[in-house]
Amino acid sequence: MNIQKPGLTLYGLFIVMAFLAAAALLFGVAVSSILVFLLIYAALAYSINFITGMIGYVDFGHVLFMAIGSYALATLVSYYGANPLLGVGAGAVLGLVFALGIGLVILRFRGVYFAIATVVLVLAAYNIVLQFPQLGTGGEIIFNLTLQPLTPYFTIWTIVLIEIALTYYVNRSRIGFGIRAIKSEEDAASSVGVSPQRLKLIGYMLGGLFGGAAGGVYSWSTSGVTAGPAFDFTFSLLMLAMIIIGGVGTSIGPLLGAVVVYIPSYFLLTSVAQAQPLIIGLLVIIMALFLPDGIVGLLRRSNERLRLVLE
Amino acid sequence: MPLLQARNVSKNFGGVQALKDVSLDLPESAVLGLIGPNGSGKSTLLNIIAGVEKPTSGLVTLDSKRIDNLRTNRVVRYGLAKTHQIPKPFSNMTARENVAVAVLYGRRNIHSPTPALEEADRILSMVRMGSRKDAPADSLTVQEKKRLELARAIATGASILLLDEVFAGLSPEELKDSIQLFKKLHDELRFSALVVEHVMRAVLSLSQKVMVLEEGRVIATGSPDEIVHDEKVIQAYLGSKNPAA
Repeated sequence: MNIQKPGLTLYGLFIVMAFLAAAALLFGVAVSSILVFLLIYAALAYSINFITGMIGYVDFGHVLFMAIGSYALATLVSYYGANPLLGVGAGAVLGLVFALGIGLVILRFRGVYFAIATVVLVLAAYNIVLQFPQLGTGGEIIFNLTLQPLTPYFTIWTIVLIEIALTYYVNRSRIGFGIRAIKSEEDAASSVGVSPQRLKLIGYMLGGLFGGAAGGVYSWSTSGVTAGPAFDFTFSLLMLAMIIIGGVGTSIGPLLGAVVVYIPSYFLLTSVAQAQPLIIGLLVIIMALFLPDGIVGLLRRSNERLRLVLE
Repeated sequence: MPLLQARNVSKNFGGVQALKDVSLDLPESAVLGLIGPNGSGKSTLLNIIAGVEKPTSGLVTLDSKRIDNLRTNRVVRYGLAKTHQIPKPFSNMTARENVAVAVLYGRRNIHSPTPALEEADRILSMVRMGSRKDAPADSLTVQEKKRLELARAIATGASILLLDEVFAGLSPEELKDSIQLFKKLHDELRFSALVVEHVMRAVLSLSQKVMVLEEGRVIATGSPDEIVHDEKVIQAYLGSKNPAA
């Protein structure tokens, strides 16, 4: 494999993205209002992939960055009448800044200690938000926008496109070699010159940046934010489920996982809403037991050609 | 002027003193053997030099620059690399990718993966693992994993190698092979090496000088020949000839 020329995986992903853009343009509101949430899920999956998927640090608190983005947009739009696009940008920047500050501290923990720290962070953030009357009673901000559904749709579409390209690039570059080394043996990585602290922080900051951006589009699409749902632990678990089901660390896995998790949840929502976490949970357990590399791993093992092509 | 120097290095773990006032000099291209019974502080000394642990007191310098306050990955940039006693391959990669990481992050100024992988192939051939380059690292044998450790250390471009028991656990045939390989590599690359080893045959045939540690103290330094005849060394390893004394 010549790793400097882009391969089929990237072209394939671009074709899927082109299809998603065409679908929204052709069928308008009806389709885009469904697909916008699929793309938000995908954006969240790619964002957690930078830290948990690539570096292997299990982040149970990734919903924090989504919430930060949601509040950034809601605050700007509802109190300052700002353009929602500016809100998405602010969400991304705040996500990045918070990831930098938090990451400098909690990335010193490893394994289960890191995972616990991420859970604690979300609990703390939730209670902090409730203390600010500026962020609404009970952390609730609702706003009314003349809805032009294609604008948030193409905003999140662009975010996912950037995430795909960046994931693909990182995996193939020098930084990807360092990150995989950290995932496997952090101490051995530093003994050949890799700086785990720096690379982990880069991954965590990318996760914060895109998590914040996706959170902004989420509150844009739902016309508001409420503290309870915004910090819902289920979101973190869904993000983890998506990359585990799709294939951790890969460029194609998060999108596959988003489709698998989102499509059934969309249909189940109307019939058996409570069954959704149960079904996804079972799926994750089955995956963890039998297919640790997710759908991507399954496809790679099934066919020699796919093994070389799928990234 | 010696290349690597340790001066009066001491290390306490809680109440236990693992190293007491240890000093050493490692001149350019020299091979210094470091031996001693279990728990005598050999690995601790190596870890301190490599930046894995900080000394309680004393200092380590490389070309007169202090390195004992640097992290491991910074020490690598100064040209010093350590292998692991228990091999730690990156098991999610092939052998050549393992070595490529070291090429990319060492001090070689190769920053893009394609040339790094080519360089990795060259180094793997040098350590006679050319035929195993595409093998997943976790499928390698113990001997191959030890060679991979050596290949990674060399791949960083290090001028000083700290080798922690790279000859342990090998069959007599493999041991002979590895000693011969080490000599060849040393002739070609002219690195200096600090070799921690339990296998006497390996240390004595590789080192120009041997240092013996016992309970964290240096009890003897000399040529391999002097060391095997040193009374204190024999006593440390085999116990006193006369228990009453």
